[in-house]
Amino acid sequence: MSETKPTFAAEILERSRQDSGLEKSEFGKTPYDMYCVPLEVYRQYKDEVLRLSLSYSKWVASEDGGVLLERVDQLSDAELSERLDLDEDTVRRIRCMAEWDLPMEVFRNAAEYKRRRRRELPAGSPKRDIRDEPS
Amino acid sequence: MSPLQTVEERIKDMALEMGADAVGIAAVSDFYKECPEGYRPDDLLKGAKSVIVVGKRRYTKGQWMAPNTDLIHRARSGQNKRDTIGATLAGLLEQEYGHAAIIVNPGMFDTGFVPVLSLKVCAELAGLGTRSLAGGIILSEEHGLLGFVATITTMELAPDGPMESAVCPDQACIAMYAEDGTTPCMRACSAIEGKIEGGSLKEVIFYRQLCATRSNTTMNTVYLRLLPEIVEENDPERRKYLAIGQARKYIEDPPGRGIWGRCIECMRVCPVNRRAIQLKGRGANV
Repeated sequence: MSETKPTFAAEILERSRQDSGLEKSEFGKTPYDMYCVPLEVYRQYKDEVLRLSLSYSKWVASEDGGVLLERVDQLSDAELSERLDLDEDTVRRIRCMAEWDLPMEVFRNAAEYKRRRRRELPAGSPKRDIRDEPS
Repeated sequence: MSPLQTVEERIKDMALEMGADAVGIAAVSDFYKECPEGYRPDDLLKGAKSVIVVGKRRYTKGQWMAPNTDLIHRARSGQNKRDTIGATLAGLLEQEYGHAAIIVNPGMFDTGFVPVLSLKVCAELAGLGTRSLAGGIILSEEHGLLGFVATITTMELAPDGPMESAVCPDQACIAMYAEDGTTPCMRACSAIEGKIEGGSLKEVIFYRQLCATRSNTTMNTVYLRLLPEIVEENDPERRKYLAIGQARKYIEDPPGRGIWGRCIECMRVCPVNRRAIQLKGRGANV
């Protein structure tokens, strides 16, 4: 009996696995598990990751009075992994999941904010009401 | 090139002739204190010694005054030769001086919101401006808000180094802070907080994640953010109109446009920037 020939897609998959250099345990995962961390891990660390990364940036005056301000935290994923005792890949996944994890309303509010600012503070611009114009 | 001209002068002249508003040079060694490992110029180019930073104004005076944010930011991409200048300088360094060079522009991200290299730090270390209270934007007394591109090279060039005095806070902001505990940029945007003491910035706080929702209002990624809500909508008609309807006015129209930097409210009220964008020359009327 002749051997069943793998499908072309299966062959591509196998070749991609060889080239990826990943451990066998990484193969066959769901897309969620490939890109994200377990929800309980995400919920536990999300806030801390955001507050310690670039999402919240803080600088203070340097003690020597120089013109360069000193950054406070704004940690890289590697620095965060040391601070939080997590591996770097886990930190990166949490950060990438969290950076856009805001209610949609925030984006609506952003557009309204800019439009309101332009109506209330035209700063020399024409007094044109753009409320009903297509964006 | 004149026989008396240094290579640094040649680089700067070339950039300015191509339309740069400002150009400066930073030493790679200065980045070690400012940037974490993995995000320094020599993490991107082995043996890098210098970073040439080109600054270019992002808007015309007329654009700053326009009432429609779409008009403002769309026109920006048409007028900006910034990245071409950076690439031309890289070509000069490679072809005439035999040193490797790469460019870094604002669209180059590592993962998520993290850039491969901070162009703000590049500009600051090359003396093109200093950090402002307005989200740490690098502010130039002469040019106000600038957009930057960096050319990293293995060639050792004489660095300009950071400016000697801070551009921010302006005298008007110092007076306003003393009176009301706020500044024009802080009053304009709640992503900005800070303290001024003795006429200098004591502390600057920037809610970058909030700023991102304003500067990226029409980024494709924000439309992607809407996708879970579209998928979860049970009614097919409502789902359809959620995908193609009014929400797109706020988010992405059409998908794929991907315009960045769509909020400049902090800079519209900044006294330094307002001085810098004033019309000059004959017939100036603003």
